[in-house]
Amino acid sequence: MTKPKVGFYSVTGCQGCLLSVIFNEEELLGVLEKIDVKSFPFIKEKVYDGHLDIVFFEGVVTSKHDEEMVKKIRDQCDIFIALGACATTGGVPALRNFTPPENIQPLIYHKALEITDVDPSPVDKYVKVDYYIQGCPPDKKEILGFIDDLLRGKKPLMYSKPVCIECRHNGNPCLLEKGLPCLGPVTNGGCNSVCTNGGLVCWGCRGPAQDANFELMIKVLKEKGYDEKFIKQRIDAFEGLKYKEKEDAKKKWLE
Amino acid sequence: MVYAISFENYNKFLDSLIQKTDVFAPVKGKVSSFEKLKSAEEFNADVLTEYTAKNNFLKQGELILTHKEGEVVEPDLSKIKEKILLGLRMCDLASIKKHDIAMNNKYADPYYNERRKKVTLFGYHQKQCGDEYCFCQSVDLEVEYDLFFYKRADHYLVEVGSDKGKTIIKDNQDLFEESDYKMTKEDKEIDNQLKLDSHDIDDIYTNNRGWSALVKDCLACGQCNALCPTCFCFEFRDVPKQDGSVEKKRFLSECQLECFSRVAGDHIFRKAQIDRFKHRIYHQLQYFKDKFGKTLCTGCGRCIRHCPTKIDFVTKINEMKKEAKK
Amino acid sequence: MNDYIPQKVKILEFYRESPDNFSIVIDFKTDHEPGQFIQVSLPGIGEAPISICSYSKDHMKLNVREIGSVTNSLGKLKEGDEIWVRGPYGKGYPMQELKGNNLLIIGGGCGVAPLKGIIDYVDQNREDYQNIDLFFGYRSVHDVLFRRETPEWKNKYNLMMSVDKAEEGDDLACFEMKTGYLMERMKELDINSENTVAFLCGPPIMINKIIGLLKEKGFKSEQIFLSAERLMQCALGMCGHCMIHGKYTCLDGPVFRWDELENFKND
Repeated sequence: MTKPKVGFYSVTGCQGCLLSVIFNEEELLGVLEKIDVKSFPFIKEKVYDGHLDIVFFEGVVTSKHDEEMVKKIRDQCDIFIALGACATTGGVPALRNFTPPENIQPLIYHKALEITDVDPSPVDKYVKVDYYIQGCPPDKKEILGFIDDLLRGKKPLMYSKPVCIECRHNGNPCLLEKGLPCLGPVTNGGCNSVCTNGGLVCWGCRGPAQDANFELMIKVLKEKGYDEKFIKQRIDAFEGLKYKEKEDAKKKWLE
Repeated sequence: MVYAISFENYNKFLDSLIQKTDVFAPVKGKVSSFEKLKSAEEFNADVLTEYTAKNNFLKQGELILTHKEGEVVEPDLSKIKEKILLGLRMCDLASIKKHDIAMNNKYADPYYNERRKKVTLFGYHQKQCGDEYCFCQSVDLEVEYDLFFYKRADHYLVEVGSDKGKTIIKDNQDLFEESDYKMTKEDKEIDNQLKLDSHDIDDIYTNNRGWSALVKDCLACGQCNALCPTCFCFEFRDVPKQDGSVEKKRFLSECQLECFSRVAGDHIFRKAQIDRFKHRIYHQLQYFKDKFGKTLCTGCGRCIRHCPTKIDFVTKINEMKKEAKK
Repeated sequence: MNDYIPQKVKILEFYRESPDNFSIVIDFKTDHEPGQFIQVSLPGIGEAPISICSYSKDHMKLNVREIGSVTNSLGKLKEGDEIWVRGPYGKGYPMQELKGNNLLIIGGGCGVAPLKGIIDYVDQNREDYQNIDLFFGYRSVHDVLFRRETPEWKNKYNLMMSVDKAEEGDDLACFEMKTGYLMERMKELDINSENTVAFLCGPPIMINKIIGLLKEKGFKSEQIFLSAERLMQCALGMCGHCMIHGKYTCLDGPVFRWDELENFKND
């Protein structure tokens, strides 16, 4: 049996998701026996240019160059997996959508005005995504699980329960109950509630849960004493674009 | 026959148990839950724990079987250790009895039964048990226990509920005294502030306005399921190992989430939150009773107390029942 | 006795019925009723409930539509491969109690599979039942199932088949198939509800419409039996996923009499 050709690609982002793959130190060699890695920033110097079976794509589309790249890679592969918060929800770089351009341009772009700019967006704005691996950074075991499933011919299943479930099964106190601005109830889990285990609130890096009720979440946080601006910024950090998408869809539906 | 044990002897008794077996009891750490006791002092009898003891029976991630080299290997259940659960309130004890029924419906669940068999149950009575969310007196509280402790001014009264309990008393007879006290109904009372008028709720099933009023505050986070002492619904996941074997494991499921009723082809039977919410309440109060003669709910109030929006379905059901009577 | 432990069985025969549907015959000998199901599992993929579509003590036939992880992986197997099964589970169609009746057997798409179990049963107990009508609807000619068995059914029983849509060049003539939704075709027929029971299985939308039609034709809820589908994990009446208003589909179903379900469609 020929090994499936796998490519890891990255556009604008911190490349932390790729590090997550590498952090599987113990299992990595075993996995590499089963797949043929054709492209991987950090590891492979040359960027492979040919047909691929599976692609893991990391980063947010922020420029024309990124857009062209994601479209090209999609055309070259059978299975396209968006890897990490940036690729799936827009992540932190997408915050730029919620700030007037004049606030940012003088800070960042006064030297690099030649960049052809697009609104930072998750990759599914431009291409069809087969599977999403969420998180900032994604769980390293989850990535291997996806590869394992695909090798076995199984459709990988995305975890689809809110963070609260894992948090509660891990025996944590509810941070929201304590009055902290935790976004666990509206955020998709699968992270084994790593932040709340350590007493840190959930910022929503894995994107909205299937039944995320943002309106109610905002109401709850307001009752806890947080003002609208604070709450909006919190949600925007990771879930802003997807929240907006949901709102727009709802508006459309109401019309 | 009732026994008495002084506070001093009680601590000695616990310490001797801790030497011999794993003893789990309410401990007030970061969060109140049943933890393994290191000494008698750690036991905190005064709290109704945030977390229940259900993980001791329905273990999250229970290994069901292993597929290895083309064969199925059953896990060795005899390796499960004996343990004592201490300080169980009436609601928590009752939930164990209800799991006994649910997990031995037509077929028996060997994993649950093995864990259950190896646990010794010590009940603990407190008149002022919980807070404004407790309503255990409004539902069916049938319990089974080995020993049950009632706190008095300077000692505990102990009721024996099983042969196992008898043996424990016998093994520690220098610490316990026989008492001629007769337990009264008042001794067993528990004060509730919240009261569910009736758990026959078939007639309000179609009261959409009433149920919607509750559901509009639901975040669909599933914490009520996770914290409920009786919620036992579960699912299996195949976990592949690096050596090529596959472990089939069991995890608890949450009926408040979409994935609970999703079938292949992505059809979701309970798509609307109101249907899911009603399913939880009806399973707790009606369905289980229709099948086994008692409510599944034990009235511990955890699903209201720890709900991010404190959805008080008890008061609302009372309202809806009144409305239905008119 | 651990009921969660499956047993390994061999696939004796594997053949395609349609592009996304196949039948397998497995070497699994067990007593069962028409309408019951078994749990089929593949290591590392998962477990799925599959209805039994035969009635025999010597082997078991399953008809599977490739729609989820397990069924898709099953579809890649071949004769001689091994799968894991446990069961049979559930309550089937109450064939004994319904002796002496006319049978109206109505199926849509892969919902015909459990109904084939009834037909096999009736073949072996033909004298117990009166008239037998088979009404099957499929999406298109390419989705027609049980082409091997259909000619025989056509000879023995009153068979009417329809396809939702037909394109030019589709061979409708072979089984005298009609076009249009099954319900529309049934409307035109003279169906007598007296001394008759209806067995249904198919997609929920179709089932609801056909039940409406049967009611118009004078059927009572007690005369209608249908096979329900729900998510199942244990199939042993514990896990809670398959519950329909307090009833376990795996124990009290999958075959329900319509009056048991009619008020609880969203549950």
